[in-house]
Amino acid sequence: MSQLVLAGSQIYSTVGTGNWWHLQLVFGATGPDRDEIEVQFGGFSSSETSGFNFMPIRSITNIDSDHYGNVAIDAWDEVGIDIGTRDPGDVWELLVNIANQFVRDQPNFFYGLGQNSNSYASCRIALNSEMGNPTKSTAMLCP
Amino acid sequence: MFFTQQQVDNLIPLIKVGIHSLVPTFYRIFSVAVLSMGSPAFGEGEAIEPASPFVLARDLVDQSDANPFRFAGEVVTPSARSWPRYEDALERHPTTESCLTEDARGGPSLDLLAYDWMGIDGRYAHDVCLFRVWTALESPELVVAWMEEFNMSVAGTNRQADMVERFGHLFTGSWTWEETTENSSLGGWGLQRLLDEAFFEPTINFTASFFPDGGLDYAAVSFIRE
Repeated sequence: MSQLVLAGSQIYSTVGTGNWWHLQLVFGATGPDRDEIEVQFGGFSSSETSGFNFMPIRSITNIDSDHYGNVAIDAWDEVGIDIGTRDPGDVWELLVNIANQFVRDQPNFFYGLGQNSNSYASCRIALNSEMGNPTKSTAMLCP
Repeated sequence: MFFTQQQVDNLIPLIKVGIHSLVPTFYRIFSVAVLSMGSPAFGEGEAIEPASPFVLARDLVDQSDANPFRFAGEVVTPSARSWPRYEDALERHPTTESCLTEDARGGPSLDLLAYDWMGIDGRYAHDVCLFRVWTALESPELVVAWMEEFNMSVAGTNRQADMVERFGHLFTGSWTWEETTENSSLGGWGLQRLLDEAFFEPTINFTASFFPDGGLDYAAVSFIRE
């Protein structure tokens, strides 16, 4: 049975910038490969014009507290999203259509590290269950 | 007409592809067989190089190039919001052949494994070129095999059947930073050309999204920031 979940992960930094905190919407049944919608912090590169990178829908596999695909991670936690009596496939199709619009348009939203967004709060909550309270320095990188 | 055992062995994986792509696949098998027969070695009792499912007759590739470039669910035309990002890449890579290394261009058949990793400049150009090459391959199974030829880890082959039926296939091949730099000869400027930037060390994803009826919707390069 496919389920829609909100998942948070912490990915090791390989360049000494602190670990990266990722949030993603994931759809599918636990076990088989699942699909994800993800938005990432745009980074500091002058070549990027957006504060966010809206990633194309991807397939992911091998997810647990140690792996995110073939990436070694520090933590993974996910929580099911209550969509009432709606068909999960219908909800996912709508979300994919919305996500594709952002992927196509790449709107130039400003985003600062000090911004206390909902995604920032949700990321902390999701990861609290796995990691304990994030340190102030790493929590600042929660997107 | 007889096939050698070597040719038969080579064709078996092609026959195993999904039912939706059987017609174009048989066309490919026929093309591969014709190309093999046209070689001097055919029928002369000499060793025959195994035909590759990634080597296609030029006319097949030309037909494939008639498909307009799509990204994230739409055809990218001058009126599309994404047009400014793809205009240069579409001009530089109007055909599948233009996405191959120079020494692989110009022949009666095209080897789609001769992808010009070092010459294609930037992620948007790779979106265009991967779309062209994967559209020419046509079969989702061949696209997965193409990814595996480049030692990518491929997710999506274990997708639920009902999701495939409703949404189509979705495959993501990936290289970790280490795989990208150590195993793929894409260090330095190669990676720069792949991502436009390389100040961080990402896992790189190559996604192929298919329609439920089997046609390629889009190809996309993305990354997981590490």
